[in-house]
Amino acid sequence: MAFPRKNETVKLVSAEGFEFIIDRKAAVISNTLRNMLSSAGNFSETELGVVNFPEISTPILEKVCQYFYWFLQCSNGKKTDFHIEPEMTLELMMAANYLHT
Amino acid sequence: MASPHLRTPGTPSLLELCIKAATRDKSCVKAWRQKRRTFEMLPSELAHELFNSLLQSHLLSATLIGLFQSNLQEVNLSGEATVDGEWMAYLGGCRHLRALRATDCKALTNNAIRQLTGLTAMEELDLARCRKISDDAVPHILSFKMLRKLGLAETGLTTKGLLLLPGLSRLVLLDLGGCPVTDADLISFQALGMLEHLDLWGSKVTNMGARCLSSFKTLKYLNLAMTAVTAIPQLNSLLSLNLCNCDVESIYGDGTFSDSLLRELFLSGASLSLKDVISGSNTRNLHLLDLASSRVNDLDAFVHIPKLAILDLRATGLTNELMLKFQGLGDNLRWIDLSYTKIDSEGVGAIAGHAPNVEQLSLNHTPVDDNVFIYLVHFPVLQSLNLGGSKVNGFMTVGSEEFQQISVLSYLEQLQHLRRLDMRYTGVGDAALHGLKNLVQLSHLHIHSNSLSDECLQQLSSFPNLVCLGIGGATITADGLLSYKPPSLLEELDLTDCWLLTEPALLDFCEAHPRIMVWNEKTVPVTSSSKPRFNKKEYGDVVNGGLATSSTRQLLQAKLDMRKSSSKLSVKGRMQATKKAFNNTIGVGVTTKPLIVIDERIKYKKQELLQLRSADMSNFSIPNLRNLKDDLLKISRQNGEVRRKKVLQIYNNGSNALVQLLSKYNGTALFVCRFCMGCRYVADSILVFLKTCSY
Repeated sequence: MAFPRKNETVKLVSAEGFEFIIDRKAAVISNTLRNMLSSAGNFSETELGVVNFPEISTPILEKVCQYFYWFLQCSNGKKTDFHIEPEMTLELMMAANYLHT
Repeated sequence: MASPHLRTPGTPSLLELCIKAATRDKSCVKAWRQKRRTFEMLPSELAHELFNSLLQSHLLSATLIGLFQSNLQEVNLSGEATVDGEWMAYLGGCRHLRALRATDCKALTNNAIRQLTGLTAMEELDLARCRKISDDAVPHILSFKMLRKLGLAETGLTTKGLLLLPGLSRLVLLDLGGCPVTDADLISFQALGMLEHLDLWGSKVTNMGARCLSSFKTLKYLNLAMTAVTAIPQLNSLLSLNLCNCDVESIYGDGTFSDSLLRELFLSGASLSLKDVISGSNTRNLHLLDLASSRVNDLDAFVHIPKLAILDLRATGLTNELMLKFQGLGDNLRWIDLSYTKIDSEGVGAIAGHAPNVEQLSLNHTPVDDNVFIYLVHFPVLQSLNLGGSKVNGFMTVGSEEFQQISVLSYLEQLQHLRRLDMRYTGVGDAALHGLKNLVQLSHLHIHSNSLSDECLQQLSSFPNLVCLGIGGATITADGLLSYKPPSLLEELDLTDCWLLTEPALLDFCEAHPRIMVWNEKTVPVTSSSKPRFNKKEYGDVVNGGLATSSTRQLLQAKLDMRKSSSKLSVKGRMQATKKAFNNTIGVGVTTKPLIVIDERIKYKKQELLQLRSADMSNFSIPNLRNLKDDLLKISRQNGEVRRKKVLQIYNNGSNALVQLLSKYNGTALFVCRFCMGCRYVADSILVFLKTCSY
């Protein structure tokens, strides 16, 4: 990229290589992502806006993204229930733990 | 930028949501429990979080523990009646298990403990009040070679088992409260060379055994409450000594010793002569002195306690003359409790100016009158003042011919640091409140008086920092309440016994101010987070469903607290949260399943007991006690679950001190005793209650 300007979106890549493009403001709900995306050049992710998750599978990463947007909705005062399938709770827990959300 | 640090308090984290989803019901557990591989990768802290959540939702079974075998390190099963040998068998497979707390587990037997042998990592084991545990469990406990902390309070242990305990050479903490420890046993404990904490309340130890205590070179904490011990030998390393309800004659002998480290001395309910006990050499570093309910007849010895900061003289026979002796007290004194004594305003005057750094002063249920305000200004850093149940009414009569009344509450304006003011059950009325108008820094104000009316609300809306306001018993009308503009920070409004208020008025108020938790017999505490659940219709439904209003209140409160407690994530944090939530939560099986069950597992540490006491006594009042006596007797005739609920109801009726006590009665009998001595009014009824309990 010619202009290493901070984009408004970031790309999250799952273990299987699926790419999720989400708003930066949604991604930074995760403490881990916020640090990765905002630290002064220590992470390559900061410049490229791409974060790889070799240990998070696609459905889990999708759920995480859904959570980010659900969270934004909640902070705007729109309260709904966030459904989590019991089958994925363990994996999602680990992802949430890693992402500090 | 949305950041988790700035998130709205109502939005749960993804982790919380996951744990909630995983422990919703049996079918959810079934869905994830097949994933053994994933489970093994689960970090230990998450496993603990999940484990505790399962335990709370009553979904944990013995076989499920098997799943956690590779990652469990600390387990707290206290109070779980279902815990038995099968659970222990699965726990026996948790090879990293470091700490097991299984207090009050009625079904635990000696054989169950045998299942745990081989857990070489075990460092902490607490089996307090497991009545089926006896001497035969000790050989199994001896197999935990790394054991550092052992709690066997109120178990069936006798000398046979006690004599084996010195085999645990690494023991740092040994709690044998309520066990029949004899002098010979105590002498054998000398082999425990690392012992720092020894709890022997209610044991058979006498002076003869106590004499050998000086050979415990590392002892920091010693509890000999309710024993026949009268003299304590020199203990160079001791920091805290508890001799409540003993006939104390001497501590550390005749004062030839000058390096006492003793910081805390608990003597409540003890009979002693301060002159003999406090010699100066043993109290050089004393920070806390608890003399509640003891027979104090001279305070001369106080000059020997230069560092005293916390002094509890509650319910002692203290009189004004004795207060003059207080003048020797230094600048260190921060906390004085004089409640339930005969000290009047003149007595307070005697120490005014001599204890300039007092932050907390309790004068509740003393005969102090309005003159006290003149003296109170001499406590410039006072933060918390309790005048509940005193003869204060806010006015002083001056001039002999022209009858003139002046408001004295305005004297408090000079106390820049005053945050909490309690004037429950005093004669303070609307007119007197005017004097408080400049106390803008107040955060907690409790008045509870029949002489308050709508007018007081107008005056009370001008306190910008008020967080908690109690105006129970006031004759407030619906119009008055609705025209009240609460300060922006207000979180709690206590309107109990405001009999004029109608239900619709309260509900309207709740809707208009969703942030404020309102307490009244007719309504439920409501905050914004529970708003979706709370509307008039639903409220009506619940009531029609055959529930008393107090139950609804508990229900919502329980829900709120559940949310609160689940927001803490670390294991330790969760424990604290439960502890906090414990104060409010209850198990009410309202809809289909119990929402949350009161957590009896927490055994209060001594420090916390002290905090508890300082916190709770302020809420205590005679009228509550009178009702309690009847309630207690009723409760004692009922069985476990009902009894538990009843106790919680009492809590909600405002006497949290007693309920915290009652919930702990099986935990800290010592506390019970101290408490009973503190308020003789209920002493009898509590004892009756305790006797009828199965413990």
